[in-house]
Amino acid sequence: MTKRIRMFKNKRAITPVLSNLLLTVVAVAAMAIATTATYVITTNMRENMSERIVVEDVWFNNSTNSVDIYLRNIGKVAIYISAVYINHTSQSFSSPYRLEIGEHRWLNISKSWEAQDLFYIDVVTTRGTHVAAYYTT
Amino acid sequence: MLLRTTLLRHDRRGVSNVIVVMLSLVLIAIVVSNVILWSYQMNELDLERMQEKINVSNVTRVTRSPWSTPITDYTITAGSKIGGSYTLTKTLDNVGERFREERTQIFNPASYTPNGATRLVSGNISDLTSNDGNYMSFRSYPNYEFRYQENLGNSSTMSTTYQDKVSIIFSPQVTTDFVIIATAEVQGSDASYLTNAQLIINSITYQELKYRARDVTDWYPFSALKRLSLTQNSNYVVKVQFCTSDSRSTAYIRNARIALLSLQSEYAENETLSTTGSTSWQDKIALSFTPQSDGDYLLVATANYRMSSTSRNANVRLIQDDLIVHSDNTVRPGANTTNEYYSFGMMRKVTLNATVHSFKIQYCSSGSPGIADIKYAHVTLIRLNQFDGSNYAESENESSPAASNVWYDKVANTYSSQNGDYLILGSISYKSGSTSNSVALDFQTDSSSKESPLIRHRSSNDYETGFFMTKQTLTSGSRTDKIRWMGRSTSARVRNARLISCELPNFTQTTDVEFAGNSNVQNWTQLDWTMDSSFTTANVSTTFQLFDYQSNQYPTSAEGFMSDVLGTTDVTESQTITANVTRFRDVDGKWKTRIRGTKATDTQFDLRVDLAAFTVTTSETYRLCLNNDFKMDLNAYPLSYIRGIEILIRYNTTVDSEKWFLRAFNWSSSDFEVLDIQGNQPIANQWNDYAANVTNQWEDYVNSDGTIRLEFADQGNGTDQATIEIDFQGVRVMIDGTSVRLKNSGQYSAHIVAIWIINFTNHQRYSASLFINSGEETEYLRVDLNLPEGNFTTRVVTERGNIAVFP
Repeated sequence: MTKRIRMFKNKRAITPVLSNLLLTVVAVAAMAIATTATYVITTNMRENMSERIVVEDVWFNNSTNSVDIYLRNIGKVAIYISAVYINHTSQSFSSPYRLEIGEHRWLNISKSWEAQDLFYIDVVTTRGTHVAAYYTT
Repeated sequence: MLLRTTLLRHDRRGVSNVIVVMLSLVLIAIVVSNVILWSYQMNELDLERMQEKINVSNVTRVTRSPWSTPITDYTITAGSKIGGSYTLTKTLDNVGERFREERTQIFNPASYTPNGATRLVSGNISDLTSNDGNYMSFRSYPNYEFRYQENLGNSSTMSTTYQDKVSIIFSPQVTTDFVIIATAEVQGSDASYLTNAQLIINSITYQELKYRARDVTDWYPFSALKRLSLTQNSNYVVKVQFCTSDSRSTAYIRNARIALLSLQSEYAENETLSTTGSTSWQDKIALSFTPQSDGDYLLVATANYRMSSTSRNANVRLIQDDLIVHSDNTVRPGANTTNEYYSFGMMRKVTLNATVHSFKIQYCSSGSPGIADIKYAHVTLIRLNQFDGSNYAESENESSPAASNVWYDKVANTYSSQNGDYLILGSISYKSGSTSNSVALDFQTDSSSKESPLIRHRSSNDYETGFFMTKQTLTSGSRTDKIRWMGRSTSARVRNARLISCELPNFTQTTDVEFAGNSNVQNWTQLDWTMDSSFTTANVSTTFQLFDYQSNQYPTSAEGFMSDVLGTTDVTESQTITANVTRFRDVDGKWKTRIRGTKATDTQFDLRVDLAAFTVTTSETYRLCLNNDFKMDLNAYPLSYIRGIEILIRYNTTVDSEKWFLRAFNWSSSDFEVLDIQGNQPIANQWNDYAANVTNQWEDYVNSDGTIRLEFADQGNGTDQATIEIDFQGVRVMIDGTSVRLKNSGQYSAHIVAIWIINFTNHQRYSASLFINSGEETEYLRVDLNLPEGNFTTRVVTERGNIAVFP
């Protein structure tokens, strides 16, 4: 009976509980946001790291007057080709060009060329991966 | 201690700090470990890619597959083996398998013809070449099929939806025409409504009665006939159903019977609704045919007909050759005329000569105005010699009763029966002759009533038909079937009363098949013909016959004829003929043989033929004929990429007086065909290479599983006995493919995923899937990869993305 009277008289007892609880909630919420941000950032990082692409063939096609590039996705994520540069000049191509994991097909670029021309062809993905090399016609 | 506790209690941010720190550490640990893991994985991939090393050392055009050599012992149809093994014929090493010409030659069937409804179940003609347990199996067929079902009790319904009275569920053993006959008697509890009955087969109506009773005590006869081609092993449901037209009335049915039988018959039908207002006879159906010979036929006809007016009659009759009226009937409907359909059903035995005959169902109106309608009209004629026996009686004249309510015999059919099943049919024309009194009929077998209709007509002129049927299993003795009748008044009349009792044949199953083959036209001194066969059931009486071309028939005794009772164990039947041997071949050397097995049963069985051989011994020539199978790998060389086949045989013969021929088995025509009509002229006692190419219609020589069957035989005119040694025999296919020689010099197994063939005009990618172990060198053959003319580059791409280039 004496104890109960003492508890009712201690007006500061509730405040510490509430403040501790509030701090815990804030901390958990902050961590949840941090976790989500981390997931997004690391996913992006993983995709960047997992991107691999190979040029199987470059065909300077006389009959269509085009430069045809045969690409194959050998990485662990799907890729989108965002740009193709020939001699550092951006070229237009049929967009969007997406390759699933293991997929392969032609990427056709309309470009006139002469015999014995030298081309520096640079294929760039949306995540920034470059595959570049010199090719002669 | 007290101080520390107090400090901790006072530090209110302690718990949250710990949580934040701990979670941060966890997150950092996850991020770092993931980065390390992904980095490791991709580095491993890059490392493997860097260390992968594939070399292309050669790319060549491939025009031939490797040789396919014999896979089993040679089958010898003429001559004999004297030494060695077929394995010696797999390599070119001057050592081979040895054979010798003999004066005997074995011929096997090249074709078969199932007789009757015998059908091939499994196997093919090539299974008859040796007694090896590989059979040609033939399924037996019945002499006829018969099914009968009855439901005699009185059934009732107030439903306006058809109810089943009697059913047969049936699956024919062979596809053939079935005659379906059904009878019953119906009654209605209310003369204002109809009692309906119908015959349906797989839910399709083929006969329908809609009877409006004149009196509620009436039992009106329902009769149905249909001929239908039923398909082997398909399910059929044949039913007689009944219902009422109004739920205020009860419909009754009794003595319902259905019979199906597959005897040969002539038939005509017209099931659609036809109408006429004419008082002259109109043809509904006409069956016209010419019997092959004079003979007795059972004539059966049915129809359903109605009248538009209650003051007129619809007339219907059956007339033969526009002369002989077999039944002439008339009915007057009750109110609500258009809903009513009455029964016409009759039978009679008719004797026909071998000239054209016609049988017509005709109809008309009794007066004008008035429309007579008719539908579901059927007529059939069944030749009576198909039954084991038949007894018939008829009484055609019109009879009148001496007194009312007294039973009289109208027709009686007395005969001696055998043990067995009998199908008994009857029909009669009747009239009550009074609108207030009925006429009663009684169809009896051995004084036992089978059907007993009772009818009161709406017009004293009405003359209708009653058609009856039953199946009785009789024992040997005297029998009497009757149609009796009784008039409630002396105005009742009956006429055209007929009864027939047909003894149903015993069931037998038969397999009957002919085999035909080729031989030669040389002088034969002896003929041995051999059959090895069995059945899937015991005690089958079997005859084996060899066609005699001199008498132009199969012998029924002596030479060319063998008989036995066979069971489930293979039995070899053989006969040697030495006199007048050449009568068993035609001018071209063709022969044929026949196996026929019969058993008294209704259960189907199979004939299994393991061997059929026709062995001849010639007087002047020595023969050698060998064949063997060669297996092509159709996975490596798909048929669509094969350009032809090439055959090589290397042999040594002691005699050079005749040529040798290569033949290939044509799987389409099931016969060997000469590949090179010139043949090969050998030089005696040295190795002779004989090659043949087939580039046209080579597909006929390659079985679906890649088997090529080749025959090597002499010309057949050598009088000196030769010994033959075969050093090598092989078959290969001609292709236009590419071989890529690859070597994996890297540390890891490589997976080739593509091959590029690149020249100035084309860059062609071919998908591939080839694994090469580390350090391994392999020849990769592609029949679909055609190399271009001139210079080209080959590029081989691995799954990891490395590219090897040749040259």
